[in-house]
Amino acid sequence: MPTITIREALTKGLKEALDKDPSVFIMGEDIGPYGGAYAVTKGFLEEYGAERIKDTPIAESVMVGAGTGAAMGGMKPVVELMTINFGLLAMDQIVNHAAKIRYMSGGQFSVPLIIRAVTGGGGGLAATHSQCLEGWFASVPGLKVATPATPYDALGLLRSSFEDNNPILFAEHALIYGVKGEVPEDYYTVPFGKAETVIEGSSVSLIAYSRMVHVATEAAAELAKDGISCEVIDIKTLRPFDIESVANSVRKTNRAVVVEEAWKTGGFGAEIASQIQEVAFEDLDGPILRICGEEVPQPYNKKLEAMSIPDAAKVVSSVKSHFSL
Amino acid sequence: MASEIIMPQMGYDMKEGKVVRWLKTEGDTIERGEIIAEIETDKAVVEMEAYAEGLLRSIITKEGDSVPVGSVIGYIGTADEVIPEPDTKASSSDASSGSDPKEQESTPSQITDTTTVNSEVRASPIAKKLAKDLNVDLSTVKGTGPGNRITKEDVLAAKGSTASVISNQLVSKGHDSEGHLPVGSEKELSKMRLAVAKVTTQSKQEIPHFYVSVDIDMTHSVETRKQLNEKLAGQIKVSINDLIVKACAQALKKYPSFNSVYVDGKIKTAADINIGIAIALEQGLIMPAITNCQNKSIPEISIASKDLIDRANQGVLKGDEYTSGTFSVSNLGMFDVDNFIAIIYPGQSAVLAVGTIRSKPVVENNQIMIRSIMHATVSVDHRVSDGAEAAKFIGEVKYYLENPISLMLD
Repeated sequence: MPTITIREALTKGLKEALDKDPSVFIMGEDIGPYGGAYAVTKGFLEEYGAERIKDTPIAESVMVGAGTGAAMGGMKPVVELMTINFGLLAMDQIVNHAAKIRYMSGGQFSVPLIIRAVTGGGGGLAATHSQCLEGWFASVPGLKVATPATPYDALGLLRSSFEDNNPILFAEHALIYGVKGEVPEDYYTVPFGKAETVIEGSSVSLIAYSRMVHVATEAAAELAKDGISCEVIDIKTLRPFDIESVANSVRKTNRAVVVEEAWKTGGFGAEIASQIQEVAFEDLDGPILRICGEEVPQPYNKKLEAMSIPDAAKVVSSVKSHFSL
Repeated sequence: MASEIIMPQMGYDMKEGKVVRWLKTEGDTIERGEIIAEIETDKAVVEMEAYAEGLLRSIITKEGDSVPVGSVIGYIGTADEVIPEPDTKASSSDASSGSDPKEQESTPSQITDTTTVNSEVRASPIAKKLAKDLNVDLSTVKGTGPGNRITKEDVLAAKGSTASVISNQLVSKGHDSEGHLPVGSEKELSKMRLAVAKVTTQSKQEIPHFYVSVDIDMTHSVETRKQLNEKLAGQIKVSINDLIVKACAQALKKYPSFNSVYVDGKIKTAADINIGIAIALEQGLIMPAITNCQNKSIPEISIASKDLIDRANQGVLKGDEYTSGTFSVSNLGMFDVDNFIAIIYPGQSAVLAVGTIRSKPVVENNQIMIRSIMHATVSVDHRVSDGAEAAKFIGEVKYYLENPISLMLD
């Protein structure tokens, strides 16, 4: 099985769709001659031409609005937001239009739009370019939110996104484009709303998505050295959210920990914790622990920034002290 | 040190109790286990035993007064012991003081319910659930979690130590280390066995059964059956059970309460009389029904019954034949049993259980005679009917079986 990076997996998925379906086109800032801020669309312009690989002005509201209109008109557009932070400029188009049109038109129109957005901090890009805002979008009915952590899931979820008739926010963490993993040659998809047990364990459930899956995995390896067996659950998509798989893990371990890069207050981790106690309260052996980003605008200073984002060491120490392990 | 006499908790919902009468006066000598007072709860007046011996040094709660559970109502001690001031003690005692471990050490007379999970105990949800399941008293468990919270592991550890104590006590009796009797073998239940388990559990949990029994003189029925079978000359072989089914059908026409089912505050009486007959198979028990018994003659019932039994043994009964019963008959006559009582099949409201017909001496017209007697018990859903009607119903069955000629009339 070939080993590729998340970047390569996304490139593969996009090319596949462009090759297969003439209604697919991509638009975004610097995706053409420059090849995309994270080089996902490198070489696309030469291969598919300017009709299908459209560089746009710096105008996110227009990009998403145009994408929504094209999707209503029968196209299958992919809009690349250079970062999810810029998505704020397109908030009205995403939340009030893309997510609502199918419902408000009584199903006369659907919006098969994929909005790829780079998320996350840690790259020294300062407060306005380093946020994890996918949780905000996850609270909107009408949207689906994918947050892959591996090349396998990046490709599988992207394929599912192309097969889906709804607007999808596809959040790609900036720091994991280079993460490698095995991806089968044969066609497969990864469904929305199905979590996966990345590591099996018996004492603590670490629940995470996107880059924090790797942090949780690293922490689980550390905790295992102290005899604390952790189960790592990758929820993969925030909306729909697979509470059943998460709850089943908690029913086994009796201890739930949510590891999340976003801020604690109102973060998606709060939703996870709340749903766990709704369905598995009787199985808990202690309060649900949330390990989240510090509640500060992301510092530019590299060391301060590192301190503001959960890492394996923080997960290890928090788990031990919270549960007296 | 003097022992407190505590208002005991005599029922899980008892909040306070009234001292109706002291049977001892101050200064009386008291033996451990002796009745010292009468306590009135919400439900009854209960005698209260002493849990210590000595002199009744002080009575704090006067006759006729009510105090909360856990309150000190008196002291037992030696003649020269200093007894605490009643006022402070009495007023500081309330229901929650019983959970204070220090208090417990000084109150050997305390009655504690070891299975109660005290809400004051700090324990995790799973720890509380486990403690209940494993019968562990959380007030005796030391918490090792944050804030001394009792965790799942603490409960399991406590259960382990309890189990070892029990196993030490039981080791000579052949129990294993967890206090369970040794398992000789274990097997998965067959589907039919599982179904029987489910149905009977449901019945016993949901249906308030009561029972009425009679002895039925089967002498005439036995004779009638013999004559019938001679007449039918081997074409059909009528069984005693067929006569019983017919008698029940006749009785059900007169008392349709027993051909009904209780559903959500309503009694639904069945249009037809379909009598289930209990058939024992190797894998379990089934109750297929002879349908429309109200229109069937004895030979017709006999044919239907034989057909059901044959097909049950071949395993080729239809689904609705299992479920269409409106009343049932369970007959263990062939097993030489005197009597038994049956569990009502859910969806019905009564079942008749009959034992073996035996020759017994009975008194008739001041003469001792030998008659063929069968003991029968009807189990009835009390939501549907009462003892008086059940007595009339089984009396009707008895009448038909004792006068079987009347079974031939329709």
